[in-house]
Amino acid sequence: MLALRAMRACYRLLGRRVSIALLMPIATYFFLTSARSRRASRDYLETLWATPEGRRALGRRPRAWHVLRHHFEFSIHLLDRMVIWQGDSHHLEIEHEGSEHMFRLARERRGAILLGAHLGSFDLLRLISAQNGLTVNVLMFTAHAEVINRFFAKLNPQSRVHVIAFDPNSVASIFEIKACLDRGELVGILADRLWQRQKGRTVVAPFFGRPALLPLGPFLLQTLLGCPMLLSLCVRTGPDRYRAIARPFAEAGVVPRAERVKRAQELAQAYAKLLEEYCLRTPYQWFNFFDFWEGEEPVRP
Amino acid sequence: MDEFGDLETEIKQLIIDALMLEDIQASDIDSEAPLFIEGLGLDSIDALELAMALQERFGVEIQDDPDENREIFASVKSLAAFVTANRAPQAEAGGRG
Repeated sequence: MLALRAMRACYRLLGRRVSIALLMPIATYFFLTSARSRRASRDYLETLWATPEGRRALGRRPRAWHVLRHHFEFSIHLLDRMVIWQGDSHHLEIEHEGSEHMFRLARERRGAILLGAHLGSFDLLRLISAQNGLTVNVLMFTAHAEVINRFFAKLNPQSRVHVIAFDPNSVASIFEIKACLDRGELVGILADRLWQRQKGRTVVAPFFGRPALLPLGPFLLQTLLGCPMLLSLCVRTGPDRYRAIARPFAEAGVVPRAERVKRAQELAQAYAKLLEEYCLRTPYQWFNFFDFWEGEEPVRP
Repeated sequence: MDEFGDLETEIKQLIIDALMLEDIQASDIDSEAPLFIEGLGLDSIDALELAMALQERFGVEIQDDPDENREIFASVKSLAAFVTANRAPQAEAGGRG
């Protein structure tokens, strides 16, 4: 929290460029204070390094310096998320890759699930949706969603991003998701964090050669509701530049009951495979700072 | 009263079929026991699946109202009450499974 406040004050007083120059101490703070995120980063980089394509992407054997670089990249993303929350989008340039798929679905008012990940900043969807007049709903596992909604409404009354407070064990919010999709809106879900452990709602998918535990819920949702699914990522490609990536992932169509679990498992595995591809493009923007492969509880650095 | 009891049994069977619950008979489910977290331990995906099965069988539609939905999905008994109040007149015995 201290680091975030410092970052915010710095951004307000000095602007984005100077703030980035001053981010190294903040990154170092994250690096020094969280042994778990340090370990997770190292584990991730080593796992990449153990594969031929990961070796090509990284170029060098990961050392402590690379772990720090990973944390530094995270700090830049944190800062830019704050920049966007403040509505100061003019600082950032967005290039698009495949966004036409998303725009078409929105134009045709066909509800779709945007499958995100902790790769780059999903938050940039705020900017993209505002710039292009899309209505986006984002799932969040928090009771604070109400507060967050109010916060954003105040910061930027034009914001068309709505946060859905989601509890996987409750009936309360699942019909809200369905209603959004029925209205032809987009629903963003980060599918690289577990929803819940019980009831077999998890699926094992190989990720860079090691079995990782993924949530089955997002994919079951697709097989049940039959809405199209797009992979949606936003990664940093230059000092002030981000790339919005949208890629058709699952066709529309309800899957028969008996085949749903199998189909959802296949989708989850295909998702992990695609994530590998994008991780290799921007290896330092993977921000799942917890023991991803063992499926331990995530920790905020 | 008897008719209402039949509907509850029908809903129990629907839950078992729709959610593919193994090793459970309709008679094992208590009409007044909670369905979520406790009792059968259903979750949000189950709720959605169940809502779609209810719509298919009885023509009833679950709306997007969190508080109301919590009440409707509280137990088999509350589900039966919801179906009774909202079922489409012609959907009687139209179960296609």
